[in-house]
Amino acid sequence: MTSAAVGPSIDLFRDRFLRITREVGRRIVGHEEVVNLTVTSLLAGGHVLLEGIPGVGKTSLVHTLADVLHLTFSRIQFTPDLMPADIVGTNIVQEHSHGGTFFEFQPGPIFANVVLADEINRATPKTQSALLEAMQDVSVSVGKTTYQLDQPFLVLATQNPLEMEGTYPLPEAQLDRFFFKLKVTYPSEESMHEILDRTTTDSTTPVTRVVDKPEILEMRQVARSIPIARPVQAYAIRLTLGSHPASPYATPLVKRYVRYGASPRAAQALVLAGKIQALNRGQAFVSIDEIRRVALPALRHRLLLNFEGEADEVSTDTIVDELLATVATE
Amino acid sequence: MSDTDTDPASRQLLRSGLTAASRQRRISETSRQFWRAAPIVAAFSLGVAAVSLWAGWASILGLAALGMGFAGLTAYTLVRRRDRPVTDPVAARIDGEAGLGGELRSAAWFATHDTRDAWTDFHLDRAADRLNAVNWRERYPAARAPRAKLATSIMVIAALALSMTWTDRGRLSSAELAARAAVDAGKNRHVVPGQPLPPELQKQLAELLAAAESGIATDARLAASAELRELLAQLGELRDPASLKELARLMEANRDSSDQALKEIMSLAERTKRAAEQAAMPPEVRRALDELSKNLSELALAERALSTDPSAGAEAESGETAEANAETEADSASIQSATDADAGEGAGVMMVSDADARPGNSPGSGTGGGSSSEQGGGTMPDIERALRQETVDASTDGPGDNILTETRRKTEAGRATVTYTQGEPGAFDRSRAAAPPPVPEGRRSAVQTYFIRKP
Repeated sequence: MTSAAVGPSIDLFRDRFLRITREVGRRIVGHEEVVNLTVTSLLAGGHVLLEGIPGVGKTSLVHTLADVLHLTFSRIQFTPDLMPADIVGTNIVQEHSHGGTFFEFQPGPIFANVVLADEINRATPKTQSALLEAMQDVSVSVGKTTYQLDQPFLVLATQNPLEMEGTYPLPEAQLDRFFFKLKVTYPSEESMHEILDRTTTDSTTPVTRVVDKPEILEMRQVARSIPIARPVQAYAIRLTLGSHPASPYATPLVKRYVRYGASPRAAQALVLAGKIQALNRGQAFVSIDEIRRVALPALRHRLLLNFEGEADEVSTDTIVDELLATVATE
Repeated sequence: MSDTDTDPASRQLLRSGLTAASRQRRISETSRQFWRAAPIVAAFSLGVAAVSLWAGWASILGLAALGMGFAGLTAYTLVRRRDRPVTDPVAARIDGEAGLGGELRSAAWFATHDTRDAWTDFHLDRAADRLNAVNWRERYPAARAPRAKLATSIMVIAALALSMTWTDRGRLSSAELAARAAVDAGKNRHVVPGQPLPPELQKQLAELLAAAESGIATDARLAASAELRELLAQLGELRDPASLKELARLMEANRDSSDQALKEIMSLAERTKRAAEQAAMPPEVRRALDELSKNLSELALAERALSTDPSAGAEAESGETAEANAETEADSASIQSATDADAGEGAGVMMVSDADARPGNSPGSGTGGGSSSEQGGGTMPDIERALRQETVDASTDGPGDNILTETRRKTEAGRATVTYTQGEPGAFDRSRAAAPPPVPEGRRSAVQTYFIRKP
């Protein structure tokens, strides 16, 4: 690629990005930021943990995204009795037509480009681990065979924050594997009107597939090409380090309420998401603003509160906000 | 991707543009700081000038404060304005102030690091374009600060005016300008060494002396004249031989005297002495006349020594005030010793010694060993030689050369002796040598008068 080709590449990236979000926005009302960050996570190769009360459109969002991206989609409803084999698949005995039996691998719902893991915290840790292993390695192992998952692979897990009884909260180590944790908030009054208008009439809003699989992979490659200046990267590192109580960048809230801070994956997420956000704005560089914009979804689920933090019901969002306000940008 | 496609000119352009932006920013910032500090410096200088004027300090203080303050400010401005590498924080600030969305900061880092690929070059090209599109003079204008400029100008002018005024006053009060003004106006009230006595004061002094000589009660108006008192006070402080000579020449010339300088000095000394003894005179006038008489007498002695001893004369003719004063003090000590001797019963012991126990030099004081010589004072024969003239004069009670024309020693021949303590010269105990106690200022003229025989 020459420098002359960079400009068109950026424009193409931005155009595709806007087309995705605009098309998703035709069906999903009032969650532009969630859609934006979900697409960002997809292009970064990460997975998203969606948190929100029932009925705010989490499942619809994922479904619509799969339709728009021209990707295969599967949904797994997590329950306490769900087994790992129900996710990754299993070998089943088949009979040859000429007689005899053989084992054949039957892929589970994880073999899709976009996987909706609905209410992931309802499954047992054993089942959760099966999913999280697939998320991390983009492959599943059944018996002695490892099966590579198709790219792009995006897991969107939902979590209900209200019903905690009979749930198995994800361990912090597994939470760290989610690129972003997005909070799907209740829609505004205006958005509610729009939702009702679209869903209570006989008219449906069809979406078209605006981007296909190769284009998404190309966008991923473009996103990793954009350079980032060392001072900007240093800011992302300071933010990450600042989430650790023993760090010199730690804020008072971090020192008081945080037990463990964010892992290096958080810094990776900050930089990568920053690059995609920069491209989405038509920039060939990453600025501090892009890092700050993605800091909250990238860090909020990576902070492990201590007992005092849990007792005081401190929100990790508050701690990240303080980090953003305190850590120097220069 | 190909490095050959990259354009190094964009890096250079970016660096130079960023440097220019940084310089313009510093200029703007420095000019604001300058005009923030300039009124303070000007006010301080004005204060210094005012205090100098009030307290009578050197007028240069105000000018110095002004000069140093603005020199410091200018130096600070120049140092701040010089080119320097643009650091990331500076680039970040310029970026933020110009609203470039972080592009300039990022490009500034890439421009100074050897990271070359298509994306970086594209980034730098675009950043350079945006950078050059910004009018940095409009973005960072120089501070106008009209009120600060006005206030600074007013205070600087005021400080200069105060300093210049004080300088002029100082010049007026200086001896040079005073003498010049006196010559111009003929109304000089000051006695300046080396300058002629103002005619008016000369006339007043002559009238005063004449009144005293004629025995007429001193004119109260004349004695009460502040100018005359001031003149007498200054004449009393006059030590400069040349000035004393000139004074004597002027005063005696008015009386048509055709004597030589020595006689003129001695005559004036005598006249002033007599005037000082007039009880009707105010005390301060008497003291001043007495001082003048004493100074003239000392000058006469020095002149006399000059005429009798060429070696001492060369020293006296050098005209150095310090040496003349030292000689004068030595003579005073001599008189004091004589007083103490006279205070004793009958045979007074006149202990007059020479500093180096040589007859040609000025006599020292003390009991022989009280000399300032590092050799521990003179030996007895030396002291004897040094005092030979005094001994002869005292014994004969005749009008010796060292006696003023119209004066005689009160020392009587039969009673005046010089005694020496017998002892080994080498065994002289210096610790026992002590200078006689000083004569109180008020009794000094009386003591001198006691030893001077009136005609």
